[in-house]
Amino acid sequence: MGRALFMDDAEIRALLRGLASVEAPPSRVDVGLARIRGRKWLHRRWAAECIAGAAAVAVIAVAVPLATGVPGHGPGRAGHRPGTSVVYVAYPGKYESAEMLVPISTATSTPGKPIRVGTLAGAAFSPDGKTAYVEGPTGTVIPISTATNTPGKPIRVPMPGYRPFDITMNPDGKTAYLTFSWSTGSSLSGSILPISTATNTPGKPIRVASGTRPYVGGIVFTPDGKTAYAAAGSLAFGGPGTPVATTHLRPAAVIPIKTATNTPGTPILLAAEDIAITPDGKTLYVEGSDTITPISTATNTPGTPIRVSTSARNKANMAITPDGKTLYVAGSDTIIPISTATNTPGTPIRIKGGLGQMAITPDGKTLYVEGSDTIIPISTATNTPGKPIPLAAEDIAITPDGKTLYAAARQGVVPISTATSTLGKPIRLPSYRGVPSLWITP
Amino acid sequence: MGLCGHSRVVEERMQAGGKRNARRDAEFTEYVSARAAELRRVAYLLCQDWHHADDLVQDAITRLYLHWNRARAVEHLDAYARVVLVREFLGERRSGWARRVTTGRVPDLPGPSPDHDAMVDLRAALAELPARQRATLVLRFYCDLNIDQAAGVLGCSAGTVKSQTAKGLDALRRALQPGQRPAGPARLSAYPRESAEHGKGTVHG
Repeated sequence: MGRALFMDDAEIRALLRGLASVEAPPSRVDVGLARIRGRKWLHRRWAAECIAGAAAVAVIAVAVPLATGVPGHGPGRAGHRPGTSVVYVAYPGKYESAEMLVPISTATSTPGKPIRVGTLAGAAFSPDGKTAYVEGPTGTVIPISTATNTPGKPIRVPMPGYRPFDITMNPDGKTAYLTFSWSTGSSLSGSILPISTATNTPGKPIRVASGTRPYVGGIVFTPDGKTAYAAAGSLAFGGPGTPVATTHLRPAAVIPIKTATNTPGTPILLAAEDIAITPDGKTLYVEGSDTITPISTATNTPGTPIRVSTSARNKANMAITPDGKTLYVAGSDTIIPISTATNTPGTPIRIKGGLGQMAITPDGKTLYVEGSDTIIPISTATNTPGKPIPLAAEDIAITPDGKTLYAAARQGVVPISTATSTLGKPIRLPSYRGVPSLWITP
Repeated sequence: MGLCGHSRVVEERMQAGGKRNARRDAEFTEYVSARAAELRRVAYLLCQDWHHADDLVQDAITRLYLHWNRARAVEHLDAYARVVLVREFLGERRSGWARRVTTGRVPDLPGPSPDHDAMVDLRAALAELPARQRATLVLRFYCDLNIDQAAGVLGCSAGTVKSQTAKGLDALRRALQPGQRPAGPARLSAYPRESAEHGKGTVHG
């Protein structure tokens, strides 16, 4: 090799430089803010990063529970007492590995004592709103009483991996499901772990994906809670010398799961990057790279894919109105309304600036979209944008009574009246920093 | 809800906040667009796998964004970003979830060239080092940090950096001696040593 027996520091230096400059495959790093903003969905995106290089995809519709009327999450839930909701705000704490979760009473707009949690990809609530389930600092699950905001005994998760997992509640409230994206070495990558809310103990993991880097993108439930549908897949790199551009997801599928036995059914083979379900539970909408495919839950067979225009690629979110009539797909600068009756896309709603999360009011009349420096209300009757609300929000959520939109912004958490679109006084939080996420109890 | 107290002043403040946010985002995008390639090279030296390096950089820039308000105010932003990247790498190792994955082939190296064998040897030799020794060598000899600066990045004492550097260099030199080729391509792994290290508890350094 021509190397001296004892290399000096300069030679080590030269060798390292040489190694770092070897011909690298095209980078899959996405520096786009569409990917990086919206941390609530970020960790799911990490799974998707492996899939699509520069195309920011694979965001599971967190807005679905808000929009679908699923019991426990749904608009105007029977038994909900106005003004009793708690807003939970998560933001990076002093240490990067943990976050602070601060409860805010919607009745008094005052923040409570922070609870130390992990980096949250999601939060789940019992249908009665009395208990929240979030990831703890060390990969556990912490049940939190929303009345007193005291964390309960952590539920140990075997091999959680180093990436955050998401938590979704079955509408029957009996089981919380943890979904695991790819995480190096974790045996739970590509699996779903059910946790009984009666005993707070984890059940047997449900493996729904295998392969080099298996992941579960997300999970939705039929309103009766009897069937879950998980978007899952695995990343498989091509062989040696294969350009990274040919890296693809395989096998990508939507997997139906009978929740009574937690057994996976026959996979519906589709490149599933995002998934949403109509409030009546009859149709799944599965987002692929440039199509939305409806699937009848009666037969689990995919219908004709709906092509969405190229400007809607780089999609970030799907949301369905509570009446189930319209599916909204947010693109990079466009929102496409799709009639669920005919499965045809309507005229795209153009919105300036990058788009973030969407939230629909419980009455279904207004869709709020997070722009880069504004929150844009869109009338769902006419699909026309209203006057933008001048607030650069990092996350938004609407109270179950539909009266207030809470936005996590740089200034704090800002309540916004949905009736008048007027901004309230920002609620300041202790040691507030970074990019916050918001959840509201049902 | 405090909704009744809104005023034009509040609205103007909100608008000002919005502009600051837009400027902040633009600064972030500009920075990471310019520096992602270099971060990727450092990540590659740390983990010897380009795909894993991409993941590391993506995670690191995400963390950087979450702390951008603080990061943009620091004097040496590159150094700050490097700290985030190296700690992301070490944190991943430390978490114990990294496990050895034998790829069986080396997909990322170019075709044969005069330096090809040297690169293969170096890559294999680096892969055999414990994570913190590897990070120390990369910081000292690729990023050209002095002992104190490397100690700052690694969150350890200068003495530890010295000993890690000495041990790492010694191991590299031994591994790269002619006739001591440390590993053929079949032994290269995407996530080297971690299972063995974890088992012995040495990865924590």
